[in-house]
Amino acid sequence: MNNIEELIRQTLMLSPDAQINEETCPKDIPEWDSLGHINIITAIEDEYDIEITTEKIVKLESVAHFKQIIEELS
Amino acid sequence: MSPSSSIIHSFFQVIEEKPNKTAIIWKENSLSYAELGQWVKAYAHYFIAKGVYRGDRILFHGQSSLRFSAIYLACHRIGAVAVPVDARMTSVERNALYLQINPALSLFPTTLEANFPFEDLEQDIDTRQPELINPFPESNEIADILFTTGTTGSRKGVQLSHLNILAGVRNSNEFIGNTHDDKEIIPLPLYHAFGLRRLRVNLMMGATAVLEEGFMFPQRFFDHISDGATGLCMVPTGFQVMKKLMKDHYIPYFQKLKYIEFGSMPMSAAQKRDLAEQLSSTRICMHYGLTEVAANIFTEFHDDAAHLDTLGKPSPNVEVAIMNESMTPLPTGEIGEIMVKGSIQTPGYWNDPERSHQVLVDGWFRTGDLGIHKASGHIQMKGRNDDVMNIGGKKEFPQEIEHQILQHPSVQDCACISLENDLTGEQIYAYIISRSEQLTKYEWVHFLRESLDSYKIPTKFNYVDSIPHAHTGKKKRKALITKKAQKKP
Repeated sequence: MNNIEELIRQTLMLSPDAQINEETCPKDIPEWDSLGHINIITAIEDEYDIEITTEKIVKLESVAHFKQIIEELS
Repeated sequence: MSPSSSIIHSFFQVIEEKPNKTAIIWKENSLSYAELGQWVKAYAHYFIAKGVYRGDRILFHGQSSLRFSAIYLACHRIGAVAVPVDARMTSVERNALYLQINPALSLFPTTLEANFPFEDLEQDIDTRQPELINPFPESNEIADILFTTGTTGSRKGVQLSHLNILAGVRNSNEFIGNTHDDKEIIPLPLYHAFGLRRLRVNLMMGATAVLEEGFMFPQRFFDHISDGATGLCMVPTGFQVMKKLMKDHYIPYFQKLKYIEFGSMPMSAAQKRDLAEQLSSTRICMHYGLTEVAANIFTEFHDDAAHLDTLGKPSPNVEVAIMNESMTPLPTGEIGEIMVKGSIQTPGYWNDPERSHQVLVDGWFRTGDLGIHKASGHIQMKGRNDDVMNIGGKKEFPQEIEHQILQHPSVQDCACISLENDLTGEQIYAYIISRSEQLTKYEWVHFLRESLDSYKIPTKFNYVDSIPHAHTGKKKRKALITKKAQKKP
């Protein structure tokens, strides 16, 4: 997996050209609903072999937050 | 508060009595009742200036916001019909709906008529408007049209009069016990009957509505509860999402709530029991209802601890009966269709007398749900009369999805069913007979996304050699469900 943007694209089954950047948050992508959010968290935990605790999960509101957590836990 | 003939009338009474009370909170912004009233008047003047007459329809998207609340109430103030729709629907569905409803004004840019995007609209809005001289609407006039799914793919526009929505709010209040001191978190979409009813309840009571979009950011809920929120409305799927994300961390926060109202999809007796044990002092209510007849049966998980496998008891202002196909009431314990009658009952579907006649029979509304009356007076659900699926609280008929799958040239035949799922209640399986190549799940998702909302896209695509049909040609979906369920470990 190249990066988290690609991981989100694949998890949500978005087109390869779907625009995702650090500022992207769920409201920007219709497919990023509550269940999509859970799927992204699970995919990131599997891909980076980390466990995101509930204290950290509550802070995940954008791609930048996900990147921050991955850097902290990897 | 004195009795009033409509939600909008009550709202203006609250402005007189509690102008400085906070009406709505959305993100970092809030509006007092007086401020929201100014916006309502401003939008009402704007609608009149744009040529909207009493009874005309105004189409707008139901995304939670301060603006939504102002537009919704402004429609009612001038006697126009509010038609809030899902902001995330595909352009195909949106255009079909636009043609179906033929609005006098659209605040939802469509490819057919991309007029009045909100940003332009608000440049023309002046909140320093004089009092409106227009009379308030009569109770039998249509207040809202809310869209629900239909078997053939075209949506049904459920008309609700001012009396219907007022009765729905009163029934709900009577059971839950809302007061003007309450502050309720509403994370549900406002184009949906449940979320919109909770908004009406709070604004009519002079309480405070805290709008949130969905359940994926639990910290916001915890912050609201720490800031004094007393109530919460949820669909069981939202609760499952929160539990999955938060494990048991939600418990100390939810324990502070005075009430939670669940609705829109079933919850198992075991889940209800667990929740009742965890939140011993919170009033945990659940309703049964449909857009056409609002919430009409209620239960509270502690009071009804011995009857958690039922929907509860009918609201005092509503008649509920179990009848057979010839509309004869059935004795206790016999399975029949759940029928509802009362002032909550829709006068019918927009521009669709045929469908209206099918469901409104002898003064009763036919829900399509099967149930039994228990000797205790509780109603127990026993399945559906048709193939409707309930995906996270949103109902969908398989025919619409099958129609879109059949548009692909490789498909000879297909059938869709739904099976139980821990998170969404049910998930959709597609069974496909191919005449040529077999598509991957990724290819199917991209093909269907053009024409179907995300939640309607099947999660499983199975290629099969045959699909069972009855001798009438009708697909035997229940046989597929039984076969699939038997295969499950």
